[in-house]
Amino acid sequence: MALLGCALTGIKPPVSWSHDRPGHWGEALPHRGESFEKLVLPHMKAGYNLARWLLRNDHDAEDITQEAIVRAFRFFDGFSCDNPRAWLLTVVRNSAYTFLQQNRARELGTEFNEEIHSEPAAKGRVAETPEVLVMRSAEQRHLNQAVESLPVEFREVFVLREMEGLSYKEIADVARIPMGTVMSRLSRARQRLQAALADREPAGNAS
Amino acid sequence: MSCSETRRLIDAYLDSELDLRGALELEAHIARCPGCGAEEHGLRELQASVRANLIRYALPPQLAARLHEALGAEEPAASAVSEEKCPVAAMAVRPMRRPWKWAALAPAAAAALLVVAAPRLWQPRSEASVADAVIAAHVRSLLANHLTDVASSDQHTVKPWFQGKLDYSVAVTDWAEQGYPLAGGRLDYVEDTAAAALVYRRAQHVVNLFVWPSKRIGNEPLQHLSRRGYSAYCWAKDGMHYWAVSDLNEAELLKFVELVRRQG
Repeated sequence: MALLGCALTGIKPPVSWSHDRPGHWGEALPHRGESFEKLVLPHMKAGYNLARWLLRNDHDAEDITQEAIVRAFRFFDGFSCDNPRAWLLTVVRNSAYTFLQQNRARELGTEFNEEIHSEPAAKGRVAETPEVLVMRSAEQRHLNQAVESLPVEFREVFVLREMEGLSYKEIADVARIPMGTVMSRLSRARQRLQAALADREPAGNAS
Repeated sequence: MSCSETRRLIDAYLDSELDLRGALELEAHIARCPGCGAEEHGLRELQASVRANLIRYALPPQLAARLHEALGAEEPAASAVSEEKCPVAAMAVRPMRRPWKWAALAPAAAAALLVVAAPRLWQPRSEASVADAVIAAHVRSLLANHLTDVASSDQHTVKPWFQGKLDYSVAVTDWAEQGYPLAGGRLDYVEDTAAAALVYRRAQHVVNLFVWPSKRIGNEPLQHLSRRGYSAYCWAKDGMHYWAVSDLNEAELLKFVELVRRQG
């Protein structure tokens, strides 16, 4: 039975990271850097987006993404990496959690603590970002605030599923939780979002 | 399917994580249950809104520049290839360094690997679909609470259970002493063929061993693949197909596979 070799399954066709400067990284990173550029760097945007959603501000997200990608580069072994995207997201996720533990421990382990997240904690930060300035509608604003207000354990599962399209198994591996927990956290995240949006709708229409 | 079962599985259904049979049962339920139908409708609306409205934060240009600089500075120190495998269970462990000459050989090795692997990319569609079907059957057994039809660690209970349900005989062995206790058996379908699914446990993990008659004569060598985070080994022996599927790591699954292959 002819099947894909393990080392290469799941690897997407190489995509140059920068369209305007093809080979840009390859020049700076000979040898191993070339396969790192082809396999891992295409997922850097996804890595930044995840860091930004986990940390909820631009500055920390940039620092953590940089730290994670440098770390990924040190550990990278192109020949046994069968899912570079999930792998890079795992490194970013772990770096973000380490940062939260050291600097904002209050945000962690809040799965059962409704109080901390009952107010939109990142409201002030949301307003700083250029993306928010172009938000088209109240619905868009409310939804993004509601997702930001989810406890980080729910937010990560939700973002990995809805934005990165990871399978439950991949999410379980990235977040190091059982698949049943992935399913229940997603379910609870969606319930919370539905409730939050239902609450805010009248206020949004009035303003 | 009951309302509580529907509510438990509805997210997996919307995320396309349920198998066809589970999805059909769930659809049949929400078609006749207004409460669960409304739940499904609400979740679909949320999903549509999320896809349209959730911000995807763009990589800041200054970060790209910083990274370029940082990785450029890394290169001399990191010219040795890490022996750690990419999957990040081992992330915390400092990698061992190989002599630099291995790093120089690496691109050639990668090219050789591609040449070897490339013809396999054009495998017949039906064989890829077997892999998908087997992994879907494994996922279904985990998600839909339908791991075993006959739950027993006794091979003398499980083997006779299959008789009368299958027109072939399946060897059933409990590998508890080797660390893979038998949990039971289940009737499953792969490629429109009734297959025996033998269920084993390894700590918190489940191994499904699917066995069904091969349409081709002869043996086929052991093959490995991984897909969607699952690991699978398949081979054919004495007119039977064997597929072992699990989320176990490759080495532990291979150990199990070797036990099965040695038994006959």
